Amino acid sequence: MSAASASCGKATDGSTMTPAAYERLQIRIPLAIAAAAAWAAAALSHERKLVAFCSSDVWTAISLDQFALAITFSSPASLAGEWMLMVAAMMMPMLAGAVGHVRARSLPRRRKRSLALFVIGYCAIWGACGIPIVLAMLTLRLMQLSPVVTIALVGSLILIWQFSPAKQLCLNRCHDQPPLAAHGIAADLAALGYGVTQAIWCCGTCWALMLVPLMAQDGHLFAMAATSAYLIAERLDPPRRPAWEIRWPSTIVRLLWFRLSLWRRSDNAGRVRA
Amino acid sequence: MLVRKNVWELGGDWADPILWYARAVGALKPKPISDRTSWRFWAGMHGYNQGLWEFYGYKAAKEKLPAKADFDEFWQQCQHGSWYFLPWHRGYLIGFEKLIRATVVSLKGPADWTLPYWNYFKSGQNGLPPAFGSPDWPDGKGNNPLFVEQRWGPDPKKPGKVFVPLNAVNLDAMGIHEFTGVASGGDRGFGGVDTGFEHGGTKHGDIESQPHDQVHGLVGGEKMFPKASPRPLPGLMSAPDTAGLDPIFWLHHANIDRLWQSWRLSDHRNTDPEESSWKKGPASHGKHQFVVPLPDGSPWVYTPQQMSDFAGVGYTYSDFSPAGTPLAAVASATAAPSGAATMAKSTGAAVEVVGVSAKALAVAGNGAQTSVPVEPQMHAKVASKMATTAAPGAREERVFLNLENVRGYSDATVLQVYVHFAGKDGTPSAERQVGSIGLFGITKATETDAGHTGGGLSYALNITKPYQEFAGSANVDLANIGVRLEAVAPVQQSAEVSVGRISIVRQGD
Ligand SMILES: [Cu+2]
Repeated sequence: MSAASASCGKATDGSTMTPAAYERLQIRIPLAIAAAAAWAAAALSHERKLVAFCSSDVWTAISLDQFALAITFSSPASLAGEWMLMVAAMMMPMLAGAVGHVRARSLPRRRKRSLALFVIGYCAIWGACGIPIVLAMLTLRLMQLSPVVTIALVGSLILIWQFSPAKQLCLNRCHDQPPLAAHGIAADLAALGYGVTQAIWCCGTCWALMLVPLMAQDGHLFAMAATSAYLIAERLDPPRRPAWEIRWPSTIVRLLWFRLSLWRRSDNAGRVRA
Repeated sequence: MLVRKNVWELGGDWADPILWYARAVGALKPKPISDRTSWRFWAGMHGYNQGLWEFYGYKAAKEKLPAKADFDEFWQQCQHGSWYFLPWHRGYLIGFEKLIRATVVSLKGPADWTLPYWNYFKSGQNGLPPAFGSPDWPDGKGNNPLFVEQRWGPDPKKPGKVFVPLNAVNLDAMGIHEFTGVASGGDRGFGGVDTGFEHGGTKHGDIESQPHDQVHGLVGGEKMFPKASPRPLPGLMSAPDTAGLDPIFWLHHANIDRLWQSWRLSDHRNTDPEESSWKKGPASHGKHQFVVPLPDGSPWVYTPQQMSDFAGVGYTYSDFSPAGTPLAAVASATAAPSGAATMAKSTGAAVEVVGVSAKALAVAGNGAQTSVPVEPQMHAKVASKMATTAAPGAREERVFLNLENVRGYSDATVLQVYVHFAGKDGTPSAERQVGSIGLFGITKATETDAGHTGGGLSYALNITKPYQEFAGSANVDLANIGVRLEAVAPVQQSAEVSVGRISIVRQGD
């Protein structure tokens, strides 16, 4: 391919969008706005040191007194609020496929209702999942283990789950797009049920890695962002047969490599012309 | 210029190009699977299934597959349910034709050998070309490499009588002017949906859905082997994992490839995608690049952009008329400069559900039927849009029948699809055939945890015309729009074929 035709192609690149890409964008923009709001809120609350389980010092384990103190400063309700905020910020960017499915398969007059029910089902499960996860973190701190032991314990738990067939099974199911009923109570139950099942597979996929931001103290927001990026990258990979194996997100690596080589080539072409 | 010719018009059942094809196939078949220039290596590049390959004798249990590096680089690449369907297969055919030509030359044959195409649409040519149907060479000796036992044809009562029933295929895709469409239930476009990052591969584009899928299943057929499986087993052509093993596969795909260029020539609006994610291929999404080995075994990497440049691909076809009758609209191809007259993209067009039957419909025996209730408000909207002529630049109203989450274990099955609008007072109205669906790839799409989600395939059939006929009538019973699926060959109960949901969807401004 000559440099001339390559640059000619480039002029038209990006100026067009396929109908399917436009459909995806219609879903992704509101989700991105909502996710951005959740991130901003998470950052703000972190700033105010409201997140007891996030900002309290996991490395120097807290005593029962400190725990009691933390609880007085943040009620279980606000704890739950912070947890859901974290879930919203991290999960929203990955919901485009499922939300798009609900929207496309609903009668226009029922779209909002079905989407709301989907979100309710989805959040209910994540909320319920938060209880054992947060309690486990608090217990870990009460045990007053040394930081090294804590990291080793949680780290190996994460690694075992990441490489397990169960994790891959959950990841595969995140892409499910089942038939949805469209009329009456059946439609409501279908949307709610789809939210519930999506959240179950999603919790199964993400719970272990969610421990990373929960554990991080100083770099809580950074850990949240890094974990979020990793979870997104993981989902770009196509489904595969569940097995015990060492896995890492390979699609994103190839994607970055491809973009980098394109950028290097166009950089060179620019220099030749100049 | 190398010209691919009509297999039925080569001048005899065993005309030279066919004879040389047979000799080359005969030379490639015994080569080891792991050899990049072997017959079976090339079939594996399309798809692979250990159980079927071994059962049909295409692999011995102890035989070694290609080494992991080769397997990962070359095998199981075929692109279906994606806008890469056409360009991937074009490169696959180019590589294959080069290999056969090189083999023909090594056997002292002509250096300008080209792959013939099978245009089953042309009058009198829907039968399997005779050289493929005979177990013998022209001199009466057996062992004809073009003959395949596991090619049972459309009628299980007459296994081996292979033809394409013309009432089960059509060229409707040729009338679609957009290469790519939507994933939400409207038109998918001539070439298929931009699969983006969410590559599911469950929504075949228009030319892929019809006639590509049907021809696969109708030619391959299926057969019961009670000792091996309670389910019917597909003929080689019927399933993506075995299709490349059948020598007729390549002639079928040459025809699909020819129809792509026919489409581009027939109307100035018919252009390939301009998006770089199409032109640069799935590698631009971090996915596998397109690569096939050359006759010397070295890898040849290609992109959809290269495949889209027909003047540069190195071959042409003897005839571009889709069904063998002259192209009427060729003149308009030059009437407008390309690019300047690009259509308003359908990005603004809404896709909305009009009616849904969400009860799963089991399909067994001769078929199944159900009815789809339509929302009165949505029907009124469609009817009023259909009654008024679209404003300039606006999109005309279209209606689609969606068969969603179609699952099962019978890749050969082809279902004729009918809709029918009954009167409120019980007066029956004429039933209309709105096309057919071929379940090519259904087994893979049904299995969970094998690289797919298990949600099955889905189909979108254009029913604008029959819908329009009844849209204005106040007598139509909106609660009962009939949908009937009629199997070309009986569907085995054990194949567990079902449609998860049937919906009617509108697409327009
Ligand atoms: Cu094919």
